[in-house]
Amino acid sequence: MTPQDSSGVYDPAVMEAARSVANTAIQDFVSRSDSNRGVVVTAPAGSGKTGLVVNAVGAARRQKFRVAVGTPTNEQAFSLVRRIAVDHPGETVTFVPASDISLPTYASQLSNVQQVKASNANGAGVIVGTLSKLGDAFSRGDLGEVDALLVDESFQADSSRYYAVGGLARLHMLVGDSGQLSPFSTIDDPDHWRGLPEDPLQTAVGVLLRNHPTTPVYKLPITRRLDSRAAVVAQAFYPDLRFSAAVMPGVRQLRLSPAISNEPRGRLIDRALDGACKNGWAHVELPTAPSLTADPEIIDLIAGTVDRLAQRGPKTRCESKTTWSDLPGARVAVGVSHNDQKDLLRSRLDSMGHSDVVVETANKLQGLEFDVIVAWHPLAGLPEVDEFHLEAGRLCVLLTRHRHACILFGRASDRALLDAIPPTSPAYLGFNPDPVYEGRETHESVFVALEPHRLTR
Amino acid sequence: MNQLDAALAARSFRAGRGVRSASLRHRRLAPNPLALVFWQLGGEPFSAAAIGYGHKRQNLRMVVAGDPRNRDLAFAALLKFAGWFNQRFEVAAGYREWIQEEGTEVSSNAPQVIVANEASVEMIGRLGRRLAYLPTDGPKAAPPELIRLGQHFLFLHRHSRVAGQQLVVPLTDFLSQHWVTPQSAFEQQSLGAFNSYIAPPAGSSGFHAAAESERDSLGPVPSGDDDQKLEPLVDRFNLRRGQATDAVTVTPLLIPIENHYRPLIQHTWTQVWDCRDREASWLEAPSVERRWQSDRKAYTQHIDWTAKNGRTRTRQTARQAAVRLRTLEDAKARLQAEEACDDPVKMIPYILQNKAVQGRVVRIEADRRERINGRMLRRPLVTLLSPDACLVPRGKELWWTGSPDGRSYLIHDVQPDPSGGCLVTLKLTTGSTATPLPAAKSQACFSVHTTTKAWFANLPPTEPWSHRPPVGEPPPAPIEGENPL
Repeated sequence: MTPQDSSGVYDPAVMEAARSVANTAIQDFVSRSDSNRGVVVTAPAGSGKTGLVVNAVGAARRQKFRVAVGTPTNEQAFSLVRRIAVDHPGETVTFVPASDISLPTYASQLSNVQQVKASNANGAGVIVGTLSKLGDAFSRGDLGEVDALLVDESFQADSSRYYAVGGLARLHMLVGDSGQLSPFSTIDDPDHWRGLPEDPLQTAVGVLLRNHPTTPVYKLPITRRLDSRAAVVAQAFYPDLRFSAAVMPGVRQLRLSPAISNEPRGRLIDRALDGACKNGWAHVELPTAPSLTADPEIIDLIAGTVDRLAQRGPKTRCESKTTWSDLPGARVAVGVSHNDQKDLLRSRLDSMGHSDVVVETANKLQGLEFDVIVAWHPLAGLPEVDEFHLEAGRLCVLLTRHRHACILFGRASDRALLDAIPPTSPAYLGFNPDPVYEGRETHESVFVALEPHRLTR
Repeated sequence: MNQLDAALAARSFRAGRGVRSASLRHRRLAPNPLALVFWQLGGEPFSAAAIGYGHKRQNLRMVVAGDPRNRDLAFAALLKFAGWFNQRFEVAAGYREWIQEEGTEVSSNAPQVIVANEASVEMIGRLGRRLAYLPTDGPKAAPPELIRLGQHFLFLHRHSRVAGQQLVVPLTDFLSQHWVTPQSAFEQQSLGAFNSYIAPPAGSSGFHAAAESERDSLGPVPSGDDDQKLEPLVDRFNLRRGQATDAVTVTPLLIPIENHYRPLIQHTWTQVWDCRDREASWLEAPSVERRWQSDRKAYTQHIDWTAKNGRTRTRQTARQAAVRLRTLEDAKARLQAEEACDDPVKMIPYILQNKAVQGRVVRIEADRRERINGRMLRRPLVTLLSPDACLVPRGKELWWTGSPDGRSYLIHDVQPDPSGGCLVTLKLTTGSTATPLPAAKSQACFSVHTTTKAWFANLPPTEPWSHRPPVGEPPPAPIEGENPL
């Protein structure tokens, strides 16, 4: 898009502020190579962090640095390989796969991408891999030191994974979204180390800042995915990071053919869809009722909403496609908290012919983007709250995946849960945040922000 | 609580007794375990007021400290206990065998400590922490046996966190892995109450039997009544001994306190052995042996390390913590997989959570081939008739419980069956004919569980700059020794 096209589409002040922070961070990162030094960049959901990583790789290469880029998961590494290769056609991007992993075609078919064993990657200018794979190769001596290390999704990467790659370079840039789900473990007492400097489950950013408190932290004040209606709500997840939407209000539009059902359940769904079109949000609140994790009533309503959305011929237009076009099912996702919710919804949507609509838990939706999200509130129908359901990161992921609209389903009792006695949460020396308390606060402010969009039967 | 446990709890409530949640015994119960019973003072958790111990029901021994708040008296009692414990705990390390898959020599046997409840394991941890780091020289030098006891206790406490380990078995936890009652997890930490609900005396219901048994404390934390009875005895003991802590003066004065603890310890002792003997009669699950071997390996490493005066840090390095986390995660995943693959009852929750599918094998296409990278390769299909609807998504990777350490299968197709169930077709992900397939017409189960050892990423031996402050933190002041408070 040329600058002329973008007038009236993007907010120039927001774009300029973001560009300035990103450039300063990258300059800071590549300005010195003589000492151990880190740079942290935190950003809200959909801020274009990957773009910043790609630009930082370019800047580091112009300084003739050899660069390694690490991510927590393989999928993140694949998409980075492609982005870097496309944006820097003059560079060869070297992917180091774990055994039984190989690049998908969309990345491997690029002429400047190679896939090699770690021992053959020495000397390469840009090396990409998962943190575990790069760290394993480094500690075995297969992969030698490089000049600069970039870690993407560094709030998802735990300290133990970061440990593996820490010695790979003297310069580190850690980029991530502080609102996402924290690292977790399946063991019975993951809090065993909480508050201690050796805690393997603190984030990569956490351990770096703990040991090196003078590390500069840059905050990207922009979200490109969310529009201004969504950003207002999303702000609750980032108490110490102010940001604004890149697109101007009204640029993103979702349109449905007008319809109103003549039975109560259908009317509720239609009102929710109309509200979502108009305001970008709808928070459907069912009456208080004790319910199972896989609440049949919510399954029925979510499936009904997805189906009705498809029936009403949804069309969208936005900054990248200014003419109306059909919204395909694959751009719609249902976000849940539990696997049994996912399994039952998947089977219901398949039986209704909506196999292309994505259904996933919040953990799996991290980093993904859709046009419309139908979300199952983490607190919906719970008899009591706990740390898992209160974790602000879970709600954050569910409410920040959409470009156009988000429809949230819960029960009236969800807000009452927050007014009741909070669960006891132990205190840990040296560990300031209280995830249970802060999760509660965040949930509360999200309910307040969604109040204008609340619908009841 | 999973769906199976919820259903069994309801069933147990109706039946008025415990209901099994396992058809096998998933932990080793060694023939001559080191049974330990602890008692502390209500307000002094870091000292043992009384210890009952023995390796057979018939030979209960006991030691009491008199006043465990006095360091010399507490250590004298522990020293007597250490003389018995250390020798029995270490003896197994003298006999070794070569284990091929571990690539090392491992003790052929290992000691097993049994205690009433999780609180006793915590007591072991606290005593270990207090004793293991005592000074061996200077004015307050501690006897080496006491330090060794502390090291063994610290090891046991640390090892107790490994899922499925069997070196220290708290019986309440053992029971909760095999039985369901409607009691809460907190109520089940009373071995007496849990035991009574599982097997109430003839003619009474589990609920009432448990309510009755719950009155008695089984240690290490005493009931308020017990400590009130103890208090005048300790006061008189202190008055009569004056400042003396030597055995000749103190031993005869201990008799009233021993008489106080004897029935308490005896009561716990009976509960512990009744429970242990009843549970030992259940058939042991096949995978217990693999976990016992890994326990033996941990035990051998601990004994060898202490034998060469190796020390254990009170705080882990970042690297140790990272390795520990992966080890604990792996142990838990393998335990869940082994239990579910060993025992059809343990598999039920996973079937209900759509993590497993089971049914009768109705079709096997052993020689089916498909084109992969331009070559026709063998990819056998197995079709099950499942009595339930199958919500496991297509493409999901599952392992046959008949060979959970073998190659995986993928869900290839799911079709409804007129009978109300569904036909689930699975595709084996290898062409090797050495991989076994389930037999036609047999019952088969495929689940997310694999017992293949997980891949462990190596960690660099030296701490990276990101994980240490530029200037190291000063070491903490000693807790005990030259600088008493």
